[in-house]
Amino acid sequence: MIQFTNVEFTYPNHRFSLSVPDLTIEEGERVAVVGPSGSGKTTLVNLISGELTQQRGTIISCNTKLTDLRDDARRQFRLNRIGFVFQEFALLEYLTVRDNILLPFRLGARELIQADCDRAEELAGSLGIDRHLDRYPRELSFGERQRIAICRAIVTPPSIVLADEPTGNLDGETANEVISILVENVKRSGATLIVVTHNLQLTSRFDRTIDVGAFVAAHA
Amino acid sequence: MNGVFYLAWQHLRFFKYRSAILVLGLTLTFALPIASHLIITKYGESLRSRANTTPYVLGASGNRFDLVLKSLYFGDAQLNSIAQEDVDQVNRSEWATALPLHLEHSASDTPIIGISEEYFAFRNLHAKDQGIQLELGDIVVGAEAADALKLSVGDRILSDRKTLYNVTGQNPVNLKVVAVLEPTGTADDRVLFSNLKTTWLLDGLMHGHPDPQHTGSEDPHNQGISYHEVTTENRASFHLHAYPAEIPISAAIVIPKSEKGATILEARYETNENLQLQNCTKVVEKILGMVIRIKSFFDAYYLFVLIATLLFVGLIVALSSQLRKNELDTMRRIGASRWFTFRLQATELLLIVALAGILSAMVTLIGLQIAEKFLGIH
Repeated sequence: MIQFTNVEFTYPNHRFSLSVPDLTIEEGERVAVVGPSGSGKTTLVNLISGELTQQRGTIISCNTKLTDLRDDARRQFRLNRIGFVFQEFALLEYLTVRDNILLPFRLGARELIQADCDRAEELAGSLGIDRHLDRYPRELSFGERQRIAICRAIVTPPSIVLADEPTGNLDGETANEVISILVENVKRSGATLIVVTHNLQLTSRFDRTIDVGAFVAAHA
Repeated sequence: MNGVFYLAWQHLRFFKYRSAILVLGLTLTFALPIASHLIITKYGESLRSRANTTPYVLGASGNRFDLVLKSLYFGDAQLNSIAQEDVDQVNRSEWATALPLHLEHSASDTPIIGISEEYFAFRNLHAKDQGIQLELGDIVVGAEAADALKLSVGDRILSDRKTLYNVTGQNPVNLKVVAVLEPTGTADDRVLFSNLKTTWLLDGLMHGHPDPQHTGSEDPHNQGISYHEVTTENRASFHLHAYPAEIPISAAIVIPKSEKGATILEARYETNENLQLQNCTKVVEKILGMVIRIKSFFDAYYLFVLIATLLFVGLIVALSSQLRKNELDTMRRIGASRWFTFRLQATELLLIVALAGILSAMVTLIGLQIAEKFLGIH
């Protein structure tokens, strides 16, 4: 479960601030986060992941009070409990598809074991990219690259998957396909899914839609 | 494999051309000064060790460097001759022993060194599996020369004509190999040794009766070449057509019997207009002094090159960090620490430096071997 209580966040030297008095996302829930550009969607996601720290209020994520964690523990929390899917795929061009999927382990999530490799292959198979495991991302289409990013996000496996505009670089058909894959695979893993999107047509795939504009997002 | 090392290695492997250029650049920066330092050090040691075991060299007045280098290392310099009498004078004195050297001839472009038999004991030279007994027409072959010329005991080799186009000049002599020396790692390995009488024969100062001249019609390697050959049957007929005291000698190694003897000899030859007595160690140190001065210049040059290269590498690392900002940010967002991304870049740099170090060692070793071959360093 993710719980925000009276959270207030302001970027240093910026006029933007986000205020979330009360927000609860249940475990295993699939949530779309929408709102106009600059309304604080990405800020909300970064607060959940612990990349940003609020000035006031409490955030509890996976039964962990993030404000209690020091930098190193937050980092480890992200590595082990959260999977990320980025708009620009953020794959490492010098790693093969297999190594990109296993990246969280290389970054220190935990010691890489054979079972993790098997799981990576199984996930790649379920997302239809298993024949590309030994190729490099630049040899693949955008849709295939985003599938690799999805595999990487759920390989550990995480408790929460955060996807920030995962379909922003994809055409309509591929975007639909990628969202379906993301929702299905996260559902199968039992993780909570939070997807930031501008595409309101995709929100029907989620249990709930949160409009960040509904929060008091002040441009003081 | 450790995550940092694995990612660093994959990065270097993927950008192989960029990595290779960095490795090669650093290799050259490391290898050149190390190789030149080692070559010069080894060259110095090689020159010194020979010079330190050869107290003095007596020769005709002229360039002292030529005299010492030719007498010790059998180089290409041409020396004016002295007379056998000059050598005998030293030997008759109570101050020193002189070992004559005749350095005028060659066979297959390999120097033939005319010596007295004491030379072998002086240089501690030993033949493989046998003693050394040099008769007229015989040669003893240095270990490297034997390999290069593919000579073994019982083989024969023709001396080179001194004047190739002078048909009236002295014919070559077909020399017989009577021993091959154990390798010593000195200039003695690369030459042929004969006794002085053989060099007189090569000079044309000796001949036999009847003239034991052959043509190479019997010898497929020396078709049509006329040459002399000394055999057991004709050896006794050879005789000298010159006054022994006037026979030309290239130089002599002079071994003082005492410090006093050395001082007296030095003083005696200091004022001699026709002869010079050179202290080998002093002459070699003079040569090395010049080499070291040149080396100092190159050391300073290499230092500037090293600093420039390190600045370039620093610049490349800084630019690379800029170019990789997105990649490193992604790693940090997923959960990598700044320490991890720093170690990743540091490991890549260390791998490049380590590869350059290994390559430098290999290049240096190869450079040393080439230098040994072409400069004759041992």
